[in-house]
Amino acid sequence: MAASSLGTEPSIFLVEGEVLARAAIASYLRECGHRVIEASSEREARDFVSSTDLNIDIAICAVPEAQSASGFELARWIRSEKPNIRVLLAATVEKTAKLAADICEEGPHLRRPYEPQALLDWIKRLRA
Amino acid sequence: MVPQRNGDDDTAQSVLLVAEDDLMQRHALATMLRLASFHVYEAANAEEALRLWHSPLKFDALITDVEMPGEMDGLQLVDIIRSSDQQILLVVVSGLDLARQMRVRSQAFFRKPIETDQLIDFLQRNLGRKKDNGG
Repeated sequence: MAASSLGTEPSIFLVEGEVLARAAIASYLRECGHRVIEASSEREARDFVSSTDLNIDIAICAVPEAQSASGFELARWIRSEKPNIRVLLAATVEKTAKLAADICEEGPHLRRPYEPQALLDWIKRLRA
Repeated sequence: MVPQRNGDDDTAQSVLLVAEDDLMQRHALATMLRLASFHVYEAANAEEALRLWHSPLKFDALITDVEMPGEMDGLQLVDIIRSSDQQILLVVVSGLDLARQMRVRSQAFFRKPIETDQLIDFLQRNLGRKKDNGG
């Protein structure tokens, strides 16, 4: 739909299989002015990247350590399909939260809305 | 940090849960709803929606597709959520014409492709009315 490409804000493609972590991290990134596209699985991510014409600036592949081989494979595949996308890998939710906070620091509109530890605390509360 | 469902604060954003397995459709719908000033959480299937539902997050409305992969479809999701929450606004969307069946289970049925203006209008009217009634 055309409306999804209306904004000029940087867009983040967040691949995270755990819905509570994904929801919290996506909300965090939106709060600091980014457009976020949420993918729930590697397959969904591949389908989307290969078919979309939406601009993606950064892809965060949050893949648990146990699935690191598929995470590396996904990252390599995205880089080969869309070389302009900056691909970041995270094996733990702590690492993903840190990446999100770093991306917020880079701008463009707002600074990080709160510290990454607060984001992790929020995810912990959601999971409780 | 955590948007909650509308309570006493008239200025609070309504919080929506969108369950849709097609990423393109989910992202497009969620984007339109965000542009209309709703706070939107996304689920890729009914199980994810239920996980969000059982979290401390509170939702004013669920918008769910019917046919989704997994052990549960959108209709089962609607039934589970309705059984524990009489207040939430339930909206079902599908490519199939299920309008007649949906009258019992949900407040609204929208056939795909969704006219998002109509959906947004429906949500604004009904969530506003809920607030007016203290819901």
